[in-house]
Formats: sequence, C-alpha cells, structure tokens
Amino acid sequence: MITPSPICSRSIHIEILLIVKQCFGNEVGYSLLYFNDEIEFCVQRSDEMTMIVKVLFFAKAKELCGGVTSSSFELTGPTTTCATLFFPAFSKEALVNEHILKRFPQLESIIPICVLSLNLEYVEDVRELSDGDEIALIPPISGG
Amino acid sequence: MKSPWGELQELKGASTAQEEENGVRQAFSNDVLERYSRQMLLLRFGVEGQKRLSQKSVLVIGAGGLGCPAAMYLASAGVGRLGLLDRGDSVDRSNLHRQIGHTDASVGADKCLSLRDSLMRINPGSSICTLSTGITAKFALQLILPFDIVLDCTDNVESRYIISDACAALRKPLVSGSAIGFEGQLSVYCDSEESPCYRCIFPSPPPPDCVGSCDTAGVLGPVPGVIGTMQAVEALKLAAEIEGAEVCSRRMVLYDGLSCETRVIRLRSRSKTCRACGNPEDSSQRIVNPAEFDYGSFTLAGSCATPQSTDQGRLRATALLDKGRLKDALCIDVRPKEQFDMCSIGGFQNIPITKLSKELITIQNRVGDKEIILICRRGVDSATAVSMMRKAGIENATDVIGGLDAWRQECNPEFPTY
Repeated sequence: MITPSPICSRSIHIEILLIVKQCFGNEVGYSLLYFNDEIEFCVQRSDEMTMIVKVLFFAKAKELCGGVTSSSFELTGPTTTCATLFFPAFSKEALVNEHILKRFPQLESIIPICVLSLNLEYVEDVRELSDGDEIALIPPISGG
Repeated sequence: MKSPWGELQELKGASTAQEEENGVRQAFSNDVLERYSRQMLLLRFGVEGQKRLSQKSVLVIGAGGLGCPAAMYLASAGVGRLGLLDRGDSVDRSNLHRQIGHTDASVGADKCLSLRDSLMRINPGSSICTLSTGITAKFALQLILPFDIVLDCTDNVESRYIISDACAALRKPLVSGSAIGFEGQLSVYCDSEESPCYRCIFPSPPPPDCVGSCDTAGVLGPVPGVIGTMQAVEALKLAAEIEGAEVCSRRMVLYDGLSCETRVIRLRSRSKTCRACGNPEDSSQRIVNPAEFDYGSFTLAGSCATPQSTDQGRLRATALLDKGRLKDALCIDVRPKEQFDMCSIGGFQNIPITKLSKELITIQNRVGDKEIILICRRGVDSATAVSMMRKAGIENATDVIGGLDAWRQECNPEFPTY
C-alpha cells in the first residue's frame, strides 16, 4: 500500500519501503507516516500485539477502588519500532476513558487531580506504552 | 508591617572555639559536645555541620501527627531557632496515639504550648517560639519570612496551598509531608531554581469529597511518625548543609505502611506556567502574595454543589428518647462498620452507606409500613441515605439531625466521643 505524500516523491517512498521490508521481513505490514517535514515509519504486525499495563492506585484512588492496590489492563494495538511515533490509542485520555474508567467508574472525580507517573517518572500524558509498563495514579494526601 | 512573631531572639549560633585556661581547645561547651556528639561524629556532619545547624531557623507548621516527631527531632538536633505554628487546637485524647509530643496530662492544653514543653524537656537549651494562630493567607509571608526552612505538617488542603505559595514567593525550601490511613507522602519544594512548588505538581485542588481527614478516615499512628521523621531528616540535611546529601527535591516518596512498600516518583521541574512560581500566560493569574488570593473559593472549586437539605421531616435527636417509637421502627446506622463496632445506640443495626444501595430491595421487602430511622456520626451521610431510599421508592425513611453528635449533646452525655 503506497500513500502519495506531499513531501516525498513516489520513487523515494518505494525505496524506503523496500529498506523497511529488508529489515523486518514479510510477515508484518508497514506504513509510512509524515510529520511536518520528517518521515517516520510504523511497522505493524499483521496480528496486533497485546500488552499488559499495570495501573497502581494510591491513597483516595485506592480507597475508591475498594482497597485494590493495582489492576492490570490488556491493551491491543499496533506495535511500533519507531520510538517517536504517537499512537492516539494510547493517549492518556484513551487509557483513562476506555480502560481505567470502564473498570473503575468511581475514579472519575479524582483522576483529573492525580499525578500520573509512568514507571516511577512523572508524566503529563501517556504517549507510548510497552508491555509491562507501570502507571500510577497519585492523588494528593492532605492529612497530618 | 510588624512581624506577627514580635521580637524574635537573634540567632546566635553555637559558641565558637574557645581556648580554656587549662590548655584544652574545644569547639563547643562540654554540654553541647556531649549532647550532639553522635551526629557530629558523622563523617559528613562534623563540627561545621553542627555550627551551621545552630545558625538556622526552621518553622514547623502544624503541631500534630507530623509536626510532633519532626519538631522533636529538630529540637533534639540543636536547630538554632524553632518556630511552632498551630491554629490553636487543644490536645484531644484521640490525638495521643500519633501526636507523640503531647501527653495525657496535656489533654485540653494548647497544642503549640504542649509541644513546646515536650521539646524543652528534651533539650532545655532550645530556642522555641510559638504562635497559636495557624497559617493564614493574610499573614503567610510575614509568618514565614523570618525562617530559613519551612515544614508543612498541616492537615488540610487550604493551608498546603497557602504555605506553598508563600514559600514559592519567598523561595524558601519547603519540606512537605502528609499522611492518612496507612499511607504517606513526602517531597521538598522550592529549594532550588529548578525545584517545583506544590502547585506545580497539584495545580488543581482535590474535590472536597475526595479529601479525607485522620478524624474521619483514621490513621495508623506511626505512619505520620514515619513521614514526620523523614521531614526532620530532610530539614537537617538542608540546615546543616550536609555534604553529598541529596534532598528529596523533584521527587516524591510514597510510603504505604500496609504493604510496607516505598516508591519514589521522579517529579517534573518547575512549571513555566505555574501561578505561584512561573509566569502564567495571563499575568493577572500570577499569585504574588497569598494575601491577595481567595483560597476558600479555590479549594471549593471542585465541589459539586450539594443541594442544601432542609431539616423538614427530619428528627431531632430527642425523638430517639421515645423507646416505643424506636421499637416499632427499623433503625439503621449508616456509619462504616469500624465506627459502629466502637459504639452505637441499642436497637440500631448497621448497614454502611457504601453497602446501602445493594440492600435497598431487602429493606423494601422487610419494612412494610414501618418507619425507617437512619443515623450517622454527624447527620450528613444519613441525609444522603434518606434521599437514596426515596429514589428507590422507600418513602417512610427519615434521619436524625446532627447524628450521634447531637444525641450525645442533647440526650446522652455518656455516649462516647471518638
């Protein structure tokens, strides 16, 4: 499948695809994506990959989930070998709305004020997830 | 403006090296050397660390579960001057399992004074000033200005934002701790150029119904002890400028006593658009002085306005004195099981409000045309329970205004306080 592009001629496009094919073989599907003036490629397996992401709950979030400290979510989506690619399917909103809130609707009021961390690192958004990633929902504690 | 602290004793620092007549050269007096020897023995602390510590002032805001252990360690370590600020609460017997600076003998006494007495007993040489006014937005800057390091040991959202905003404005290092249940959090804010403030990390306050307090949700005593003690460690690192020490800045420690797990989250750096320590796009949003910011409305911002319930159709606590009425009614106490098990009124059965929705059908089948009387600790949850029942078609439910608190005050002073 070849997509014409505003910044890349058809012949160059085919050339890149051939290189990608050499690297990854026939069993996967490819597509080229264009961001601004840069070309990035996505390698997509014909069978979509499933990954397990663990979500940890702290303080009030834990209490609202009935004392559950963590919950694993199975996410299905295209895999990528290109680190800079952005998959809307794994945005914070998608993760929260389509996965976490579906299982724990009672978290709705507290999620907007939670600090979100990905593998112990503060994040504003979740753009890329890999199998085994650990996300934490950390609301502030006020007691003392 | 005059400092709310009045005249503060000047920080003298520990006495410098002295040559005695008998040819002994010593860094401090015998008493000081002996008292602080174990920390001066530390490779990175030494005599210089002790001197720096004695020239620093630390403000501990909140004389409760966090403030007690924090202040006790700081006074013991020989901090030059210690300020204690608490909103004028008196010591309650229910504080004592965690607020270890107070004693049974000081129940009813002012918390600041009670804690100061304890500190003076530990280290009579301490220089301690107290103010039983609490932190207020109006005087936040003046209250914090005379101190080098601030410890947030408070128990409410509003104070946390006021303290952080004032520390951000004055660029004072803020050692922030909090604890509830089995969990605690610790972080140091505003201690360097890149270091964020509390508002950078939590730009919006939690909705009021998501904020628990130790009084309602409970707390395991040593949990604030762990966090308050860690606050003292951070404050001592800052005050003594211990070489090679890494302050818990741009990091947050999450401690869970229940699972005995500690996680350290790497935090963001200072936010460029933070209202307190950055430059928000709309410059009128910038908080320069907490005195000009409305913290009341800010912390209530997330609350979903609950319709003001009228007391119409509700019972006064005195109605419960009618034994016959109680006997004929279905009496339900909607508090959590843990509270019900501590004390309850005879004849009441326990259905916690969290389990009520599952029980509604059973109640409907069982109640017939009996009256249902609901009660809780203060009359808030029971009113919610009544409206839940009405929605489910159970019409003959009512509840007690003021709950068990009102029952104690109006009818039975023997009913336990907790």
